[in-house]
Amino acid sequence: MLTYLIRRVLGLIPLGIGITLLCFVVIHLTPGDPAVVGTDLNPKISLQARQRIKEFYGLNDPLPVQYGRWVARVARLDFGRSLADNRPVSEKIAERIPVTLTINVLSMLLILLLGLPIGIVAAAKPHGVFDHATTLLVFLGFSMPTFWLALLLMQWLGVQWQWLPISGLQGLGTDSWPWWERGWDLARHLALPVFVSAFGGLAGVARYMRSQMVDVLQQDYIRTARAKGLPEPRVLFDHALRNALLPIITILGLSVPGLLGGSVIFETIFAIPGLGRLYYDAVMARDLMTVMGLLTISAGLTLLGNLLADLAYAYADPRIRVGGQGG
Amino acid sequence: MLDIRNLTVEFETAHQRVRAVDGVSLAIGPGQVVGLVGESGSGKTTLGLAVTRLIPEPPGAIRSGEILFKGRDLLRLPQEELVQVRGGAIAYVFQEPATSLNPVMTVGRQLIETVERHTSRRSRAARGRAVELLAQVGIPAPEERLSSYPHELSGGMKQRVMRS
Repeated sequence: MLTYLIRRVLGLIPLGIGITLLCFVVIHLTPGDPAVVGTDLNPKISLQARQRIKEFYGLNDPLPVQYGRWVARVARLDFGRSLADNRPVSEKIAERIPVTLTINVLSMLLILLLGLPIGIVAAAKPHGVFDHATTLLVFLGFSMPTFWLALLLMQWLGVQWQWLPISGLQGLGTDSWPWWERGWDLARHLALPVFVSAFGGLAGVARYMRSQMVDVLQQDYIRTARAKGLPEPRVLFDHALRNALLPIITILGLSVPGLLGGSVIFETIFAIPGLGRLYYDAVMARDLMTVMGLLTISAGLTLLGNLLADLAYAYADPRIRVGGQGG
Repeated sequence: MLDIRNLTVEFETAHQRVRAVDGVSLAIGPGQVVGLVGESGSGKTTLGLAVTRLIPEPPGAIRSGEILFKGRDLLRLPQEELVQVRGGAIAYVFQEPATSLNPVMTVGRQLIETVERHTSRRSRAARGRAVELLAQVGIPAPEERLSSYPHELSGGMKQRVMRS
């Protein structure tokens, strides 16, 4: 197990280098000179002043030199200063991470707590009423664009019936409220974003779980389990579930980048001060330093997610574990 | 002891209905050892599985007949009583040892849960019985083998695990 872990972590190093290189190159290929975007509408700025700005940020140096300098700092978790407000990028990211992480973890929990049972129940009686009903639901979930669903729910629940707040994380003037009322207020603000970000994934996981279960239930060892006289729930939840969950672990690991990408959409729609919103604003302001920092961080999170998924898989499936030690 | 009368089993596929077992009757007395022979696809396995209703339904279905075991009709037994018979009084040795054991559970767990299901032995006693069973089928170092996963055993060893 330990050898497996070490091998996996070492494998991340070239990946990390490749990712930072890609981030850097892609960003520098995009149009929009940061020294121009901030100043082009200002008639008082002379060409010399622009040159000075470029000089100051080292934008005149050859790209490989700029890349080397940037990576050297990133390795020390220093992402430079934002071109927009001159604050350290790492600080801007750090203050935004908790919000985004909370929403994504909550939506992941929602996906698992609802999606897995739905899939299992649907698989226990394939082509039954419940199975067909969930198939329809999944179809809806897959085909509905997140942003549209978000706007629809805002319109109904927020504007028409006024059940839930539609933007931000706090109501006005709630700072003086006792903590339980502030907690309730926060929960109400989180309800829509969490539901919207979970919706698509929920459909996918439920569907995937169903097909895995149906598949596993046809295996010989399930027949063995039944032939041994085990009661049906034991067969379903012990023998079958263990095997059916394995691919789900991989799917969850792979869905991490999707979650971060989704954050950009729903944080912008719901005006939530998280990573996704920061990303959107930074791109719009040509804030190169912040964008590159965010790209690196989200790439890092993705790698971490995949690593965790692989480890969880190795833990759950004895066949992988031995393969890692032997090879 | 086991008395099968006029058993018919059918499988329904998308296009047609296949009759795998057609009106079979047979009787096995206590202490009798019998074998059933026939060419492949003639329904030997289906007949065997049908005895404790292990045929997946759908697509399969037992259309008619009765299976009397110790005087009770297994086809009419409620699920809870049926699972008591399975693996207890009527046990199977399946053909494919490679796929018949759950790959993510240790051999020991799969044996012990059967022992616990059909005897009054629990935990340590059940474990002891599992070791005994492995020793009986001639597996070396049965104690250590209990914590092995199926993929760590050879095909022949798996076959013997299945038998015990």
